[in-house]
Amino acid sequence: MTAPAIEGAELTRQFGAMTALNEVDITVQQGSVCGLLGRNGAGKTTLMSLITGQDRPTSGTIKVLGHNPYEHDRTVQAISFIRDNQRYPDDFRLRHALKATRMFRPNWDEALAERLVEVFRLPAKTAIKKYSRGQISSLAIVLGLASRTPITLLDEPYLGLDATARQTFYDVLIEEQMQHPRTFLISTHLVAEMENIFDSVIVLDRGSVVLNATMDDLHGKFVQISGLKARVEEFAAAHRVVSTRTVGSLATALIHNNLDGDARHRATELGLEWERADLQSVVSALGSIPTATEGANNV
Amino acid sequence: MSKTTTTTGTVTATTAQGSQASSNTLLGTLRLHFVKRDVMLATPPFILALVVVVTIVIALVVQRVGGDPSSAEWAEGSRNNGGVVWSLAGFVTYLGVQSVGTTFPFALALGVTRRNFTIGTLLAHLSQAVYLTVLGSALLWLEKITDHWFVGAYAFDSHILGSGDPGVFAITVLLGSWALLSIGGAFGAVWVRFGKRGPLFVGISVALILALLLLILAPSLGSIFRNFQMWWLVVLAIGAAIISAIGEYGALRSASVR
Repeated sequence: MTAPAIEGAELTRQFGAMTALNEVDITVQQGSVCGLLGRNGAGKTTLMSLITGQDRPTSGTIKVLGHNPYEHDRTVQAISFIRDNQRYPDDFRLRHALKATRMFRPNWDEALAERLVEVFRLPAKTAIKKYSRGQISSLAIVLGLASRTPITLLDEPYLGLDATARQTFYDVLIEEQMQHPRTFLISTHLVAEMENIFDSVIVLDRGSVVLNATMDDLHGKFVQISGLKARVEEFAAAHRVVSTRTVGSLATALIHNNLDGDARHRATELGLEWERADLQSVVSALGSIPTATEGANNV
Repeated sequence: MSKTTTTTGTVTATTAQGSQASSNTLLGTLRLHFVKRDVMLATPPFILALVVVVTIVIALVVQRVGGDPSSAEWAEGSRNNGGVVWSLAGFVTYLGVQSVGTTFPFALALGVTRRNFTIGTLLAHLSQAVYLTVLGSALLWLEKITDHWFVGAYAFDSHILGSGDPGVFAITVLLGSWALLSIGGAFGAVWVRFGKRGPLFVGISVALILALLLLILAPSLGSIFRNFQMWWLVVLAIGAAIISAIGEYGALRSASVR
């Protein structure tokens, strides 16, 4: 088994009195596509900054390809990280950004860059600082994917993109991962759209990791039980409940366990419906995505 | 023309493919500063050409009201023209500030370390200073062989730039522009590190230190000016550039891009 691409242990980052990350432990395997999930301010971009050596932890250790990335020449060159609010040099235009990136990336794919520029319809003559939100995201995708660095971080790459552009991004991402496998860490709020792309996920909430698991592990771990509130509560009493949502006399409980044969039989007896929980539901239940449902109750 | 290579995502592949890029990162930073060639290379001659045109116009106006370009007084008075210095100084300082302020975050995104960025930027500043020196020297030569643009207009042949001495002119432009670029870079780094209050604080601090020095040296100023040596300015400019580069690195080492 190869060493993990990214390993963080007890990572803490404080900005004055504010703790952006609090003793975070993470592992991202090489060649995987990892989703970095969490609400705004959960610490996603701060974690990405530490991974790329653009910032240093207040305490704890971070290793990327076996090295502390801070000021480690070879390691930082293996990472691509274009921020969602990336600052470009004054008056940079598209050709400047492409030319500059090409100079630093030995695996740069000019044909892919040209194709993506065409697909996303990026304007050549407009200064980048005048780009729309969607165009800035598109440029970040072009630079991130065409760089073909062994580790690619994408920071909320969908911001401002319409549905067609987002689908194009997903298609190209899958195509790239199949033809030129590498490690991706992608922060996103669009969990449902990207669920099938991820091999693993890290969920952050208020600077702490609340989940770091592979999708295979997740598939068997969470089940949703729905039905009359009293019966759901009766069933849930014998299980580890992550959250319960109630609407009137009905309730849905997210249970952190797969149901064995007896449990399924018991659920059927109580007239309850059960199904494997999707990632969106799990992340939402873990408190990382706001829910409008009445009575959400995290455990 | 397309170039396609395969990325494996393994440590071994990273090492092999990244080694060549590693040795080029420093020079890559130098080249990164010159990606916008229109700003770095085309703007200075445009500014200098504008200064020449304005100087010629002023010379013609003065001649229209009775000035004699063949007189010694005309040459002496015209050599007080500081147009080239003041017009270039503003642009060069801006270049220095933006070379760090807005280029540093992008350089980090491209996998450049702070150390390589600082050294690469120092080299870029030096390259820009050499370019300005060559450009200015060529224009000084042109000014002199055309008998000051055919109308007695003194733009480059000025007291502040060595009174037409090509050696003094070259040293003054080279070290002056290098120092200003580096000082601008240091202020850009302080801005990246501390935000908008950083440059304000450093600016006020430097002004206070200079005022204090002036206060201490005031009784000896007459003697200092009488014994002034050109090499003092050379040492001062080189010292300012080096101290600025060290300050830039110090600020960038602890700067987190957000």
